Amino acid sequence: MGKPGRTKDAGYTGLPELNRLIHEPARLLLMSLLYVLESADFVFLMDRTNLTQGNLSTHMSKLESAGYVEIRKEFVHRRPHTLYLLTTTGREAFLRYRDEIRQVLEQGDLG
Amino acid sequence: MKQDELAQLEQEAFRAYNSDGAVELMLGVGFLLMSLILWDEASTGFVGTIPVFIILGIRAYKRKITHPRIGYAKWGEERQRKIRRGKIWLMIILLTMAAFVFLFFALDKAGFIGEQMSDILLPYLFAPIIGLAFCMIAFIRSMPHFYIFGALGFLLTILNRPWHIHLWLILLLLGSPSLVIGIVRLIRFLRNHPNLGVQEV
Repeated sequence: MGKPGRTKDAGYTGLPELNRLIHEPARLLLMSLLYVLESADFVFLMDRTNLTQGNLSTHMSKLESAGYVEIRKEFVHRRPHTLYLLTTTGREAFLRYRDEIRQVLEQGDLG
Repeated sequence: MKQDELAQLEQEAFRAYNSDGAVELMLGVGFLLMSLILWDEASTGFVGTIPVFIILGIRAYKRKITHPRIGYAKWGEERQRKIRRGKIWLMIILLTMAAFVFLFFALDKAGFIGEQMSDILLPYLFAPIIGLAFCMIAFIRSMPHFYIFGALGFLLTILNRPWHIHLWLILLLLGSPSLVIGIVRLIRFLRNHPNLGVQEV
């Protein structure tokens, strides 16, 4: 089995294979946010991404099942909070995606 | 996404989290309370406890108003380092101020400083500390308008003696605009971020 989110594309092979799971705009924004933050709760992610509760939930489930996002329960000001954070796998996948997309854009510039 | 775009994303999130007017409102209320106490001159000792109420007030405000509307986030390592550094500097500034007050009044009581000298020295001693304290808040919270408060606090403290501006008036002049800014930001925040009633997901 390949890496999560990777698709076998038989097309043009000159460009690097992009991680489709991260490439989706809403999930890219979520991954970017969680990359720059240590962790964030559901409401914070909803507010920053303008996604609906259902949409965000679906995207987070996908990222979680790929092992990119981890859920942690913590007490913040004596209240329970469910916080989302990137796993090491998630961070690595995000960095790899960044390199790949940069390569794609650089190659696009040559044309 | 480029590194500076990620930094911008983080900065925007931090600004949004602090756009609730909590700091301005609580500082405004705190300063106005201090001003009232000093004006009345009844229980000036109580002034020292106001900063504690300001800190507790900001925490309660965040819990009751900010978190249900905009959520909660833990900041990245770089931001945390910046906040920690700022807090240490703020603590150093406040402790220096306390040490100066203690030293100044001890020397004054011992008769080393004459009344005239004390009048000249006191504003120059406190003005930079007051100005720096505001600048540290501006730095920690990424709130540039607090640099203006720093400059205003510095100027008013310097002009304290020659213009006979009493301390309660300085606090009133600093507290009122802070309170107004806080109220305006709170109204804008409540309008832009309605409570969606999202429970733990």
